[in-house]
Amino acid sequence: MKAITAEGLSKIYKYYKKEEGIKGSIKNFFKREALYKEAVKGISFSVDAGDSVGFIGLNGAGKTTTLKMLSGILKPTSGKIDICGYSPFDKKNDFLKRITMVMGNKSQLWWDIPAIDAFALNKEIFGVEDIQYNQTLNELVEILDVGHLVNTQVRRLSLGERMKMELILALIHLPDIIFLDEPTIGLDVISQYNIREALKKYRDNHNATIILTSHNLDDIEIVCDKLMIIDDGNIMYDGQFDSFVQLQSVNKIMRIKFKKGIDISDILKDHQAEIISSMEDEVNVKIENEKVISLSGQLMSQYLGEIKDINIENANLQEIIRNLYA
Amino acid sequence: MFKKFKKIMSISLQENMEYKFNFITSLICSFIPLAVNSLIWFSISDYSAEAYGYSLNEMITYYFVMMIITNIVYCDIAWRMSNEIRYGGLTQYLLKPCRYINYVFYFDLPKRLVFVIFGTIPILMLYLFIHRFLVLDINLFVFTCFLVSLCIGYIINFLLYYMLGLFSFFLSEVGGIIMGYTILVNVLAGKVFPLSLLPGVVGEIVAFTPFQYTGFVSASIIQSKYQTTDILLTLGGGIIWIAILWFCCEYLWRLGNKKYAAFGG
Repeated sequence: MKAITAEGLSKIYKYYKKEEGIKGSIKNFFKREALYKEAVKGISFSVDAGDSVGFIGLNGAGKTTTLKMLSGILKPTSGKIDICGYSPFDKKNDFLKRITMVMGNKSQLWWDIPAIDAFALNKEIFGVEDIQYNQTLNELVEILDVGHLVNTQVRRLSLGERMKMELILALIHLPDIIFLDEPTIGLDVISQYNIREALKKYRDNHNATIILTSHNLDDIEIVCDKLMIIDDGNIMYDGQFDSFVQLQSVNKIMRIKFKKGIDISDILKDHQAEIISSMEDEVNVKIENEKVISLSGQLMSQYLGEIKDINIENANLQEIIRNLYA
Repeated sequence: MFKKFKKIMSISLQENMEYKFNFITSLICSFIPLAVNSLIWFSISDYSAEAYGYSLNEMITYYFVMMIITNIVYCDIAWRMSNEIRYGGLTQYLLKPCRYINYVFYFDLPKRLVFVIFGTIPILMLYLFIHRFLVLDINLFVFTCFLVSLCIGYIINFLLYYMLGLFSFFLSEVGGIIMGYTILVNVLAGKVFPLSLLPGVVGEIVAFTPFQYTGFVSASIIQSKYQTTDILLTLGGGIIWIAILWFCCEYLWRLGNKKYAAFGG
């Protein structure tokens, strides 16, 4: 079942040109030149219920704008969005009760008030029943291990603790569709891990649909099973995460460790393997996928006694994305 | 339905309690216009009640009552709204099934309660100190109408500042407008001098504006300056203004929402 369908979605921002300095400011006062920026250029896509989609792209590619249109914050310049039968910009209460948005750089908590009060406020605003509220709160507090912090004033929490509270606040009304914009920005590795695990558990427990944008590709790799890549307002890839990695990973990395120094340069040359780095007892090479078996086979048959270990790795996602935009 | 508004008010109250010192300072500062204005009128050597429509003691009472009214109908939502709209903080409210106007209203309302809690004793002390200069003859009807006029005054003041806040959708900086408006409204609400002192046509025009409800109307009611029918007609006019301003705010909100760019991530 489709949870989200977008057709021909576009967003054009209007802004004004300002020339440098005070002269420019004065000139602007009398006559302003309007400029237009097409942040999203007629994109179409759909997301099935229960899918976790990683939405990636460079800064200014149109990710956040798309997310804001999907959640009903921004009015699309043109195009149609259907989320569970609702048009987001209408902001119908029933629609808002089914979605949530977590923004890594925008807090929804109250600075001077403990997070528990913000949870209770959302409970009333979203009309969550007492039993369901207590159950969800206990579940989320347990997953994120923040039971001892819910009564602490938000301003006294660390960034990681605050982000966990943001996540609880966003999920307290049990939304079906979760939009996340950079949820792990600025967090340490442990907090990042906790947030990702919590998201996975919530998704599995409640069959939620996740749309996640992040520059931290680990977030995407760990949480998402689908990938959407956007560049300059257009979708470059929309499909399974694994298929994308396979499609893009034409090379593998082989790390060959020796017991004693041997020269394998001829074999590497035969297999058109490119040496990335080489030490006395180790050589790292980049080699095409289909030549990996043949190279390892030949190394094993000729140098079995001299080789200590062969490690074959996929090229990592960061590298793939970097190559894609290069 | 009302549970959510109760909770918004409870959070606002808690947040305001955090800033007690700020509140006491602003309350004490609000004594200054009373003192300064009273001294100005005292300094007029040939003061006559006939010329101004108020005896000297009534004039001091006017500023005393005006100080209380100003604190009760006070509203500073426009700055906060302007920041929220300009820097994208509005986004979080758009994602919740609660109208922004309700949010802002129920968040601001408890500040009046904070005034009642923390302001009663200082004002009572001030009253005991200057009560021999004050002229107040209050009956139950007048007091009830005064309370109703305060509610109308607060709602009108709220809607006017809410509208100013909404201008942030269309203008990148509304600070100057808010400041200019606040200065102008101080005069048009009768905080500087009673509006009955305004000459002919100007007085009649100002009497048709909503601004007088944010000060002068309540002061005139409690000082028994209106006939009974005039009180009811004036309060009725206030309710009509609430309706007009509410429609204007709704229109601006819808227009602004289409323009909202949710900057800041």
